Amino acid sequence: MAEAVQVLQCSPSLPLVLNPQQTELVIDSEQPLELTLHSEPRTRCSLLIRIVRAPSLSLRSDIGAGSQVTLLYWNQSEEDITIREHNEVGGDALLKVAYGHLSAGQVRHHSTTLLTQPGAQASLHSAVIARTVKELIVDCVHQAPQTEGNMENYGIILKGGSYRMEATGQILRGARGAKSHQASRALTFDEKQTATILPKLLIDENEVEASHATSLGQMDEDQMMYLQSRGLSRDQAVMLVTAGYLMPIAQIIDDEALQQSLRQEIETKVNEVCSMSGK
Amino acid sequence: MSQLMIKDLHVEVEGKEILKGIDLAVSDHEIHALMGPNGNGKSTLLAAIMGHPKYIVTQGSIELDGQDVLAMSVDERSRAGLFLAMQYPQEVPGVTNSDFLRAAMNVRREQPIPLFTFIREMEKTIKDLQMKPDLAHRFLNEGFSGGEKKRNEIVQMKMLKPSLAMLDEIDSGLDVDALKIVAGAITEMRRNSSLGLIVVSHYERFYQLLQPTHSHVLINGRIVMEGDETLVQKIDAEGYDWIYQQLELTPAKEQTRLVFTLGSCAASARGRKNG
Repeated sequence: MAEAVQVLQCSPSLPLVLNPQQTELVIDSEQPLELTLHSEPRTRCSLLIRIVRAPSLSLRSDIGAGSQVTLLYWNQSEEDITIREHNEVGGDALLKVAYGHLSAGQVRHHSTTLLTQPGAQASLHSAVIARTVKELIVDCVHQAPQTEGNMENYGIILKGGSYRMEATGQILRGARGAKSHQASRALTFDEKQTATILPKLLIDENEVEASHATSLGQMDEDQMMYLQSRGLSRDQAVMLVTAGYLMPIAQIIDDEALQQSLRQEIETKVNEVCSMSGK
Repeated sequence: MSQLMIKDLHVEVEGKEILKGIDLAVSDHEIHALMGPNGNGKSTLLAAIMGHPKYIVTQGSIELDGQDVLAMSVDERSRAGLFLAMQYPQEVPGVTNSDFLRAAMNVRREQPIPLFTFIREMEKTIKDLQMKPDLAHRFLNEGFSGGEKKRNEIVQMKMLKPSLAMLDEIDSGLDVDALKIVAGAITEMRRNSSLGLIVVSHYERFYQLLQPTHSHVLINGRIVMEGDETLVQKIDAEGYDWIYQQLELTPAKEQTRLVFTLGSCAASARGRKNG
């Protein structure tokens, strides 16, 4: 039986087969690391992947038909990192992937998810605190009919930070009945910050559903007034709204103890953010 | 004994005087119906009492139990016992109702409320308002229907237990059944506390359910007539024309409704000049 927690210090030679007993994987490598995750058909599992150290990562996941797999990449590395990620989702399988980039290092993360068979679904979610450069490219490609892709990307940009989010939902010809939805929200704490959100929908089929929603800007003063009118100080209201950008990512993981520890980590980050922003 | 005392209150919005000398006293257990045609200052009065930064008090005073309300920030006013159920409650994505309410309850207490006590109380309140059980885990007002938002205001009021609550057209957007549920929840709260209320509504039906002890008519920024519940009934039957005629008032031109977006830097200001 596999251990609940596994530590990787170099690239494994074989694909790692996902199983419900394993809940956590730790990547702590001085060298670039390559990792393939593989799920047999009808696997159900939820895996937290803590990135403690790695200059670059090449990640691949193959999700077998009928599986329900959740992967949360939790970047704790304070060093710069480049991530290339490729996911393939089989028929009637559901892949949920979330990326938490809350640490100080620069991040360049390119994620591509292919929905290869009918009924494949992907839910892609990112939460980012940008104190330096954070660039994410998230592509979800619908190759088959009745596939569904949902993307939610949230960013908080601090002084000196730069955030770029390119989210593309692509529906290829023949992918009838596909649904591609995305929402991106970025919160800036200063007028002079750089945040770019590029939501794209590339659609080459009729009879599909597609949507995107984007918001980008400073703290909404009407929301602040509402929260303060219930007794919260401005600082408390700012912290609550800021946490609201990041907290939902912790909910993706099934394991309650892990979820609780992630929530605490997020709270610590939010406290840092709010004290740094002087709000 | 809790009392809100307003004397000679003048309020302006973006340089235009909206309230021109309001006197009003509200004590424990009282329900004050605040009526008047649209655009005459009812919502302005409630927002100024709560401390909305766009509403500038230029003259007069507001006291709650002898404390100077105008010297308090919005959150201090809330913690002192004031509550405004808003006409247009804000949506706050990412913040769940339960996280928000727990935080708002904890700022009123020395020790944080124990989790299970909170959950029990929240579940009961949600049930009382006949809202869906998942309310606690939904983001604050996000994707709520108009009626759900209004009921959620009452959920908050019940959990936060103010001494004086102001309801700004809380009945608009509620169907007949929801109206009864909301009125029932308020009545129950009054039975178990000394809650005082200022209620703005255009509908006699809501007042009938609440049974106000006092009524006031606000026209052109002044309270021009006061009475009891019979005045509410008379206005429901006859409208406001007879008041204009009796007092020889001229109706103000119908104005575009004043709904403000705060922009990004106003909230730290206090709703008072020289304050």
